[in-house]
Amino acid sequence: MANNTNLSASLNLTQLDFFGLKNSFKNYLRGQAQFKDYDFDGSAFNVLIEELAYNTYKNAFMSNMLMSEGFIDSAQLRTSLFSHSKELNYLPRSKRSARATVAVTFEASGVSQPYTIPKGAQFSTLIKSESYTFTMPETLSVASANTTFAFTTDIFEGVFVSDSFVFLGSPNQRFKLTNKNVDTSSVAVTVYEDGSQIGNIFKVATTLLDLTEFSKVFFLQTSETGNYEIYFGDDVLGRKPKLNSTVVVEYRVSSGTKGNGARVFSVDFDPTSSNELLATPKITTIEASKSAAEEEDNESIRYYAPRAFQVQERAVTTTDYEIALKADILVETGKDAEAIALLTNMARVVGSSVGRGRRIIKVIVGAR
Amino acid sequence: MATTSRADKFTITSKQVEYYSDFLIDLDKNPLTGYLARVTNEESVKQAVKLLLLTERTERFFQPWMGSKLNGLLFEPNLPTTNIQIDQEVRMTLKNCEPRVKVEDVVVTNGQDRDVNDTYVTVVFSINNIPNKTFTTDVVLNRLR
Repeated sequence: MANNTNLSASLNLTQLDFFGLKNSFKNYLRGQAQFKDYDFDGSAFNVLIEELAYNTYKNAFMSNMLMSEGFIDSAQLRTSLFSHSKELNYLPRSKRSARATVAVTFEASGVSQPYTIPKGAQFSTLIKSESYTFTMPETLSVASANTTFAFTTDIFEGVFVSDSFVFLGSPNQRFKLTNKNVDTSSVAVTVYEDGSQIGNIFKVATTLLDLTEFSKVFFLQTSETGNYEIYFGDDVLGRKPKLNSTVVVEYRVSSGTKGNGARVFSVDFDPTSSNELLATPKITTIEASKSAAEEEDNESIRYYAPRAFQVQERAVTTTDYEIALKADILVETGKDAEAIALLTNMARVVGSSVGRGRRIIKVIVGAR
Repeated sequence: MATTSRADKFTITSKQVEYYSDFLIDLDKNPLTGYLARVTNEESVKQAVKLLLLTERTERFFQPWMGSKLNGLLFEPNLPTTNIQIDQEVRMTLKNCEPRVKVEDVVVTNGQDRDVNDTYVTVVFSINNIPNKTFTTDVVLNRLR
């Protein structure tokens, strides 16, 4: 049989199309005479050719996809973009909760004042007939000389959840946040060491500058599954928790932009915590909910990650400031205070004013 | 230049022209030579006809039109109309996918044993390059489990 074989034609397998590959196999087989039925769809040989073509097609597709995912310009999977962002020291923005400002007034006997209103106290609202929960970001203490109590607070859409972990001593240990809808600006980490009931509060580190082995910080990054995760220092840059410490990560789970536009709120908790209310609390909405954001989309990551790396947390040109602002916070949604705070870290802010519907922040470039 | 042995020179061989050749669907090998066994001409076409009829439509990657839907007809009521449908399905499949044959007749018979529910399909066809001859292929349709 082998004597009659003349498979001199080269086998071209560079195509990405199934039928193109199948034709390549057929052309290759034209150089032999033992099997003539490869060109008929019903033949056994044709089944084999199709299997080969399909396998080659899958391999070619796989190679193409792997190469695509290997570069930030062509990556399609979000987890691949997260990985590329990590190389560039860029943290893709998570969902951001809508923020509203309310003034609460309530009548109470005041027997056990000052009243402590805990972080996470809930307010309800309806947006487009759907119920949403807003929560307080910090604990608040309220006192009064008479029976009328009042406080004003920002409230954020979403409820707080917490994940608990045990620190096993390895600096490589990652603590993955279980909920993908986390608002990373709300992440709070408390570490309970030596079985203590009093926790050490660790703060998020966004830079390595000024970190020591005593700094109680944690680092936030994206994981290979698309969740956010935290990790601690190694006793060189950031303090490492003690072995077998309990790590509690508390964060707000956001609905993103769905939380925008709430105007009427109701209180879901007893501000006195001890049934001392004399009447139903009254709520005045000072500012309707706004400033929410969805998680950063792929194109935005693709654009900002290399540029944030280029800026390197420094700001020299005006473009640097624009990139720093757009990457970290959404200026266009009205977070003026955050924008000014961010700029203050990088330059000397000499003025801020509102003109033509836009906030204008004047800085001296290159000065701090 | 190839040399011819005396044995070859004086041996009368009526070598049949091979129009079609294929290997066996189970990739069996020739017991004498050890090479892949081959089927030629009408045997090759018969195998292809059977393979096509037993290929479920949408089974082949990227070629959803390939094959027949005879297996689907197994679950139709056991009526003469179903047999007519099988007849038409066989003819249409071979017309679309097997250009080498011309269907002369299709005989559909149902199994006598009601518990087994077999259907026997006999396809009578002629082959383009082999004139004045008809060939038959039998296909048994029954449930797998």
